[in-house]
Amino acid sequence: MTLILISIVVLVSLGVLFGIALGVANKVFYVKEDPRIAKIEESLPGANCGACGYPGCAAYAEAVIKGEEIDKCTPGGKDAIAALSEVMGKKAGKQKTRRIAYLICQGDRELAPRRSEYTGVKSCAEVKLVGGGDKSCSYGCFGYGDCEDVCPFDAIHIMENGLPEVDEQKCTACGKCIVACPQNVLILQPLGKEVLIRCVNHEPAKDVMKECKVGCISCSMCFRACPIDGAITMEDNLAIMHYEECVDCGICAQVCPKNSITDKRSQERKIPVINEEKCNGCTLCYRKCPVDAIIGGKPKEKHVIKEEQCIGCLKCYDVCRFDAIDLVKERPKTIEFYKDKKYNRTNKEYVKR
Amino acid sequence: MDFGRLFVIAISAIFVNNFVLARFLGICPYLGVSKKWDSALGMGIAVIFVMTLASFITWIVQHFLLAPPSGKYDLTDILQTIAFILTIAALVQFVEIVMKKAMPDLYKALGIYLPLITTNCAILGVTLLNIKNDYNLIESIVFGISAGVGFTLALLMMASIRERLESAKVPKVFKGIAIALIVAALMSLSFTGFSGLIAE
Repeated sequence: MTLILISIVVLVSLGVLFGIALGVANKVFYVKEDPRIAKIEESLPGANCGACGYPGCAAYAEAVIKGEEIDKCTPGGKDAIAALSEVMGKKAGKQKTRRIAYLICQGDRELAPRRSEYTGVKSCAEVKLVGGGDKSCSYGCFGYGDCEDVCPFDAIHIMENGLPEVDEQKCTACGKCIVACPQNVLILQPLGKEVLIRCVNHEPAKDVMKECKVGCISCSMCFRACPIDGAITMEDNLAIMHYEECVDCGICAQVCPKNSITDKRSQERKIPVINEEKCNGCTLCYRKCPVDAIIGGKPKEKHVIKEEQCIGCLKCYDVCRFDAIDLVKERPKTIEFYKDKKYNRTNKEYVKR
Repeated sequence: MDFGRLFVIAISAIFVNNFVLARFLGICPYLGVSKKWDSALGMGIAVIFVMTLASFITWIVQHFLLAPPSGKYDLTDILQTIAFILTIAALVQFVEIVMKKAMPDLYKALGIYLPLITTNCAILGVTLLNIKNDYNLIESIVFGISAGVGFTLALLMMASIRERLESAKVPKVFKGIAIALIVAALMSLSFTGFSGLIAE
């Protein structure tokens, strides 16, 4: 009996002792923590994907308190930005449109055949180690699905033609596939990017012709036709698109002899004409035009499109709320206006580079 | 003080009776935290830290509370396990609170691993073995440190192997935890080579 009593006394005293010690320690050594950290963590998706550039959502939450931008979380999207701006009381910078991954290679099994039979581990990183891969083109997509394996959102899948396809709905632009791809043929661009140069082969034209039916042969047609200065440059036997300059007019896709450049709206591309009856001079199209081809600007003044200057990017057509823009005229292959005036680029200039 | 005896205790805890590979204590973090070398190291250091402190505190609890020197009562059989668990949990909590204030850098370095190992069987194992082997205070502390070092050694070896396994050609059915268990078994097997190093 006494033993039981002693046990109870000892254990209770032990518990009370520790309880008091912890209680006192908690008061004495109390560290103030920002209550906003917990709030921010709650509103983040918790996928710990690292798209924001921090190791996990908790680290990003702490960084936000210290002044990091609140729009870094791609999987969270608009909801996360809204929640974060409420907690932090600041607005996100200019809202970026949602981005997704794009494949910049078109060499499927038929267009860019295999040059050897590879029976090793089904991994792009592995096949690259074996003599630069089993594909005729050593720059293109191998199609063994390293991107598919690494995608945490099930948004990228290898199709029957041996190339991956990105699910626009599921992709959150976390960037894991971009890192995993040994060929660097995946890029992140805004959802709705229409025109892309889809070749990364740096070899001379002669070799590219042998390797792939849709490879860039560096003929520089796109470079010369492009109305925007600096949107396309020729580098090392390859046309390179500079995405921050490109306005998606699709002229490059129109002139490319090898179909290395794709344009989602190639069928639509026409010179727009403003329907005077419907136009009420809201200036939306005027502000949106990347090449100043629309006359107007004063409110209520009806707009007119300068035909010779228009590149047919259809930005005005997309933005008009009054259905006042019609697509009627066939677009010429090159816009002479830009050739003759400020953007006079010649093949010589390209060679000099 | 007998340094020879302390040396024997240390070698025994690190190699011959390695906590993970020979006593099979602390298997959970051994498989759970051994995927990456960095986190394995963090866990290992946290374990060394807690084991050392726990050895110290529980020795005092045992010899002044459970079985006081006066010899009036002996509660070892009845209360030892629960009292030690309570002690370790409270101790780790206490250390965490103090460290957060006094050494925020160390607190961040140990991170989640400190509270994680509070209820680990390896920690409790050390403290119970201290008493069972009749170690004095110094010996207990040395045993605690070397048990932690042994644990860290096993964990780091496992992490290195598993990092290499990531890029190795492992048959599909063995991928992941299956091959990890096979590796663990082989490591344990190889550590039996140390048995007989020290005559008990």
